[in-house]
Amino acid sequence: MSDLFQQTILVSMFAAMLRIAAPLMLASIGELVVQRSGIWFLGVEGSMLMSAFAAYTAALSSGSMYVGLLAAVLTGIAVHLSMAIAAVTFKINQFVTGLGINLLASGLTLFLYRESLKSYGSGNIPTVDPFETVAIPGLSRIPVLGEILFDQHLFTYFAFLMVFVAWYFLYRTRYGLELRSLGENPKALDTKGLSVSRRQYAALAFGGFMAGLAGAVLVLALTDRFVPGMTGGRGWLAIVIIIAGNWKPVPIMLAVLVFAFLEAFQLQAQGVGLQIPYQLLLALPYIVAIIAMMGIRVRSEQPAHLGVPYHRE
Amino acid sequence: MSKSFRIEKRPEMGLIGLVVQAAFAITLAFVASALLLEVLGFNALESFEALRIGAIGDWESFEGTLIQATPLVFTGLAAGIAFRTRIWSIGQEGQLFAGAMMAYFITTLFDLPPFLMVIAVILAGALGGALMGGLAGVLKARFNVDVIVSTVMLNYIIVYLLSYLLTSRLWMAPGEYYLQTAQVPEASRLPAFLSGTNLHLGVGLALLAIMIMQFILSRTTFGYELRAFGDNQVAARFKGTNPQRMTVIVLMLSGGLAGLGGVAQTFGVDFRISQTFLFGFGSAGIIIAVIAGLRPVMIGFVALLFGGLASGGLFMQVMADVSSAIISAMQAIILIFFLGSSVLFRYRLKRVTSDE
Repeated sequence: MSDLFQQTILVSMFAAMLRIAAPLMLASIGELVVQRSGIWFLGVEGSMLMSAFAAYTAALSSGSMYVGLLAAVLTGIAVHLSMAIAAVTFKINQFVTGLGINLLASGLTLFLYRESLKSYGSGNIPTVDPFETVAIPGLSRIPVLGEILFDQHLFTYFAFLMVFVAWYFLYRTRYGLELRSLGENPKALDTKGLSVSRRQYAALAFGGFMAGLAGAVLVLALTDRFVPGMTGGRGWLAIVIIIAGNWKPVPIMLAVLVFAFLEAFQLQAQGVGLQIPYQLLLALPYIVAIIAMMGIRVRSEQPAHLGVPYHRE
Repeated sequence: MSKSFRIEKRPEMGLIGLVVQAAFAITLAFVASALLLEVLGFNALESFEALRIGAIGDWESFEGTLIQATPLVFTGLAAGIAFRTRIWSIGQEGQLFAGAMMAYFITTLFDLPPFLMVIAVILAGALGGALMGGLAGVLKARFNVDVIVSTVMLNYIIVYLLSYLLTSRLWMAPGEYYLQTAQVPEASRLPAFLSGTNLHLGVGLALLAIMIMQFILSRTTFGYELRAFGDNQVAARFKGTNPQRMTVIVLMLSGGLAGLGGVAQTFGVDFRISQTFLFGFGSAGIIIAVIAGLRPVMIGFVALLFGGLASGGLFMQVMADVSSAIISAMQAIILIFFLGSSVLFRYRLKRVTSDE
């Protein structure tokens, strides 16, 4: 095998890693903000799935990818805000509500998808015209690195940008500080006259925006159509990633890259025809997730009030 | 860990309140689903009539409902026992797969006379599920891996394992086209539970499981310990309950129940395993457990309703051309309305207690 061939494979694998990282990163950063506000939201998977379906349906019926994108984001926000109503306003058990959202998403999208197939006619599943990658002038010309880093979807650039935005917001702004103390000690905030619930609503709206984008990426950039259950556990991996990253943006980014690498490796290994059962490669992210959780000793940044509804006395 | 304080404060709802709340949520869910069907251009009343006929139209369809309800009883009980102890396991689906797969595995190992083979299959199914649940338990007890996370991941992993056993053709009959195992041997199939009916032994086992779980929870010290552990882990620890041990035991028990569900479905109905045959029993079981207030007998009744939905849904698909996927959506809608109405019912309770 020539060096050039190997290099081409590596470049395409790492470029794929970054492409695949985008939805995971978006969902994880969104969920980080949600959890920092003290809300233990397990419905990321469902929120992404409904957004992906919305993106597909809206993009097809309008013929515009941007309408699809908008529909996905609005869906994500709506789903997350329904969690806000349940968990923040009505203090319903956060575990069951998040789970309920996931179950509703998988049932409803499967049903609506099956029904919409009828109107398309059998064997004619329509596709969208996915967003192209955007090469950054100059930078993308750098050999190897440029090809990997600077010829990506806008979503990918945005996802990585959001890691640093989230870091800046959480650690360098007053609102970020308030948000962090919300998960640690909501009462302290409340006694200062700052609204706990308004901040939690805002955090969930942001989480919904990010999950909506993540769902949109799956349909509008990484593939060209909706497939039932296409989120494939990414929403759950986001939760693992947050724990593995100890609720901090940069370690979370690294954890995302590990999982994205596993998926990119699996795609590449299948392409090259590596003699490993492909199911093992597909199961690898979930196996690694468990092993990673076994190795975690530090959970110092876990919000003390995560999942505990705040009651005013 | 002050997580359980809130639950303690809330007075536990009585059985009647629970039944009313569940009925309320189910009614609303039917209305919402009817609206959904009408929006999509179906005649909701005709569709639901087909659903009803398919579920309870005559004795034969009611038998179908009972048979559909059977694995749901097991996954419902599995979720119920875990949630009772506030162990948030979502692993019922994977444990159901593990049970069916372990039972299938032993049929490939040896032959026994019919009666013994059925017993072996049942035990293997319970064992497979219990090992799968126990794995999540050990991961929690020894390595502090969140049960939610490990069970979700294991659900994915076991399905890939099944997929491997099929595509590698280890478990597929020669010449088989579909991704499914070969048929299980006659001797291993669950015999009739009541002669003259289609009801297999699994139906009887489900009834037995309900009674045993009800008895354990309400009449034994272990059941008391279980409930106390769920109410307040710190207090339970002071009373001598070892939380690590408890977690493993509960998850093994829960997994064993789910595994029996896999046996009932595979050896009573399908006679072979495929990914699609066993799909969805876990999530339905979780919903059933929550709506039943985690009470074993109620789980039986709600599972019967869900079994009717599943069984009638197939008939509705044929008669009214409504995709049977509506059923999993309806189940989740029922859960959402149940959670929503819990607020309504909770406030009614509060007004009485905290009137100052």
